[in-house]
Amino acid sequence: MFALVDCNSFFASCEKVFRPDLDGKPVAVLSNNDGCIVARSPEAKQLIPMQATLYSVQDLVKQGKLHVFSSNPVLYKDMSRRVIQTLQHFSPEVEQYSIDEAFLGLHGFTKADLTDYGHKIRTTVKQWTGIPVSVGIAKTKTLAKLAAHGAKRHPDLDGVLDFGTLADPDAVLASIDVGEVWGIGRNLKAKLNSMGIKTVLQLKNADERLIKKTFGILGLRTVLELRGTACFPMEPVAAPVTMRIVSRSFGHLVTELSDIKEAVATYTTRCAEKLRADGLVAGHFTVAIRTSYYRAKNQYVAARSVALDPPTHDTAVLIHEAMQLAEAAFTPGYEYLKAKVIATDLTPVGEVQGSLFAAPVDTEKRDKLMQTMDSLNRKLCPDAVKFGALGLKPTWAMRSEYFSQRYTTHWGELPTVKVWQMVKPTSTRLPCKPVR
Amino acid sequence: MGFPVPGDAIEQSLDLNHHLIHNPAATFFMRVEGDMVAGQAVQPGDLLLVDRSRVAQDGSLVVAAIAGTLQVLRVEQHQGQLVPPGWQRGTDGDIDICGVVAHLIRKV
Repeated sequence: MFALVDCNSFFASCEKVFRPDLDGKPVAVLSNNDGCIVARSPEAKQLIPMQATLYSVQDLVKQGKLHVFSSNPVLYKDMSRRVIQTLQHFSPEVEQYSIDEAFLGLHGFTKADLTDYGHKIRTTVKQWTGIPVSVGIAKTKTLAKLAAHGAKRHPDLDGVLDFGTLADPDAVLASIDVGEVWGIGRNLKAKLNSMGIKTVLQLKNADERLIKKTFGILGLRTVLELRGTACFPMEPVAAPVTMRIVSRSFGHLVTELSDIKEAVATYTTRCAEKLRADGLVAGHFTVAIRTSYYRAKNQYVAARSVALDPPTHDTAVLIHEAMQLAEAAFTPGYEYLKAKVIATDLTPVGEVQGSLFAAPVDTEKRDKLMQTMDSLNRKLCPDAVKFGALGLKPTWAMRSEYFSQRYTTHWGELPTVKVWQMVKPTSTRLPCKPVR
Repeated sequence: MGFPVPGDAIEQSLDLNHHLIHNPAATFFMRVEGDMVAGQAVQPGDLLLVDRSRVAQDGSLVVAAIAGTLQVLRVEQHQGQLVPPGWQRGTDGDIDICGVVAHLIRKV
């Protein structure tokens, strides 16, 4: 048996944990760069659509009817870690599937008490972390995901649905769009629809050979999972990292090469920090820049790559390469919206082979420098020590006007509490007028 | 001539995190702000380790949401409910206990 635990409106829920004044109020979280709404609390769902732009909801924000927050990834990541840690009390097999979803392997549990167990998981996660979750339980991961979906949509279920307890599971599957099935994206859905498969039940009863022929073994496995045969096992160990990407939109459209280079240098610095934190070195590095997709005219996309020999995670080396790549990719006359740096061909530091051709580098000295920079930046503030290429006052930086606090990871941003005081009965005396 | 470092007697140094935090998933640091209140154990500037997994009992020091703000206070058992001393549920509003203060750290 499997359970899928899915955090409800995760980013919005994180913003509410330390703000009891927002209890019961509509809260929405913006994408990077304050572009559009990416998460809504249940109250906000009644008010605004997903993907709404900040511009379209600004009246509600000004009137105080909607509370918006800029994306606060540091907070979300820490809260996610706490949820996963809590779930590990409920099963030795926990597989984090995304920042707000995890599968639990429930082997050896008897069928009767699984709904109760789901409720226990739900109340514990809420109590320990403040995050509300939905729990779907079923014989396969694909069905557990559908069950979690159902638990979220039907308030009378109180957030938990054990698929095995449904009186008529096929009737339920017939009422769900095939696009809701795990692994079926927009393209697959269109293809299935063209074959006359519109509901989950139709997919479950589809001809095995036809599915295998059209969608390959993965498609067949999905059908078998819908029929109750587990084909996707637990994968508790996170898949090894194959690439590190840092990608962000600029605060406004950028036309100058100097601005692009500053941005690319900054993203490269972040990327190198991530590589060092994971103990990896990159053998390949790519810089990509592009204009907005939403403009009909003057679109431009370019990417340039370089092989790194020997592989490295040295910020200075990576910035040096990235600057040349950015120059090569840049063409004047366009308004750029986004830059991206990608480190690939990653290997653990200890497994790097010496290079036949490149000149030897004094890696010990360089490593010490990088370690010193990382620890200073961790202790003081990000970019307290940085390379000159990052610029002093970025004009291209992302907008994040509605930033909340990093409540759980920064000493200066902890939640604050007042000392409780019995409120004294208010005085009935009128305020005296000042004597002239 | 000095004594040799006894290699097998070395243990890990004392770790405050380990000593103070029993449930890392549910423990949050919070800072006390505002004015000094007479007769209170908690003072502005104190660092609170709040464990959300601990169940509050009669006499517990807790952090609770009262009137939309987080407040630290001691609760008493009163007619089957945990409330601050002298509190009247209904007339005085609602109190929602977030967690129990497991430790208090004060700079001296």
